Amino acid sequence: VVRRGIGGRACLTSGRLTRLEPALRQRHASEAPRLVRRILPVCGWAQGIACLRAVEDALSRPAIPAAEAARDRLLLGESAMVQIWRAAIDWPALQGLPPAPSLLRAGRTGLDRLVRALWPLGDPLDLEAPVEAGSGATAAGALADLLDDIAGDLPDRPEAIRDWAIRADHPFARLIRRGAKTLPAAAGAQDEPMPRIPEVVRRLAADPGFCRAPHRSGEPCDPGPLSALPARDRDAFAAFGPLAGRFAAMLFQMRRTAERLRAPGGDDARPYARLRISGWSAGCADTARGPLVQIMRLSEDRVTAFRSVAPTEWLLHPLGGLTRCLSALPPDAPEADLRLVLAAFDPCAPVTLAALRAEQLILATGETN
Amino acid sequence: MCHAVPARVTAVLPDETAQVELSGARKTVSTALVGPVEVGDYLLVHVGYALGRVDEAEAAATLASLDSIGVAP
Repeated sequence: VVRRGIGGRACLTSGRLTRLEPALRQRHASEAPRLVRRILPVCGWAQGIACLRAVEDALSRPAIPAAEAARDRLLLGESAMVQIWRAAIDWPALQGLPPAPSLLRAGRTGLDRLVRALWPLGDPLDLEAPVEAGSGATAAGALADLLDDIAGDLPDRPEAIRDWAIRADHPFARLIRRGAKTLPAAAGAQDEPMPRIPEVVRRLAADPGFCRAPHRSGEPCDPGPLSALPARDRDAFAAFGPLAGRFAAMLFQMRRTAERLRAPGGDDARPYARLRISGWSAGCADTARGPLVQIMRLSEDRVTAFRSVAPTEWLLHPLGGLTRCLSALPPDAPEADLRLVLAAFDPCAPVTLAALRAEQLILATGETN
Repeated sequence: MCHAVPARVTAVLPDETAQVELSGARKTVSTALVGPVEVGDYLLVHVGYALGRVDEAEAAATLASLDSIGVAP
């Protein structure tokens, strides 16, 4: 919940689901990945793969390069779906344009084909699922083509995107311009990128409450596409302004995702490394909004403890960039501007807004569906 | 974390939408992602969109799992 009081200062608390352990406790390890995906289907493959990696770590199974490569390709496909959702549903709604459900359907069909190509004989979340090494190029290429069609004439270099955003008549260019006008560059610094994964695992293992407001030494961090960029590109986008820079980074992410779908194993690829810290086994999976981390403990192959932290929990930190940007809006800012801020941060949470008094708004994020 | 809730279709509406029942309340959701639906189908619903289909047994199992972690649909 975000309350905007007199003067427009925002105060945020989150009621999101952060604790899955009761649903997993005493389950056989092999059941856990599918159960996690069933409960959390929004980025369901990422949730399931993070859990599967944690299970394999707990069972001391080595990472198999072909399986990990296929998983990474599937994660890219699921990330593409989230990006298509933004372009087809979220952003048109901000601009008074109709949604484009046909794009969503095309993305869903492409993702389903990718899964069948990579795992023709089994469920990707089975411990023993045989993977078809090297397959999936055609299905991944079709998803990449779809992303490129949506991106239109967006440049494929970060340094060219600012000029494009200034001159282009594309709806996404107009979105960046609107973000820059609503909150100019002076409105506030971006949060630092979230810590590296082993550090997140250490903090999650040490503190059961970490997932509710994750941080680095008390400071909020950003997990998303802006933070995934090299520092030079991140600074260039951040100079657009706290909202425009985030929209630009999300758009650029479409280009990078398409590139990586076509040619996995490029600059961004890194071999998946097992993590085991402080007696916890860990799994990680990349999503469109940032890395997802799960840790678990097993006893006799059954789950005895489970913790996780998702990108949205970083975004909803009560002192984070989302809160600061909401606070930076004028007290009488229209709801459309609040929606623009939310879309720039892109938390994966349903949001409702209600005016309490002329000078005070209440904004609720919950899981009410 | 972002969960979705199984909901039973109670009416098929125009423009790729359907009415579903969620804990006794009726809501209209988009079915654009899952294609044609029929009354009695179970859908996984998130922020007004059906993300996928489940059978009745899976819907019940998912609701039980959500209940165990304190989530009321």
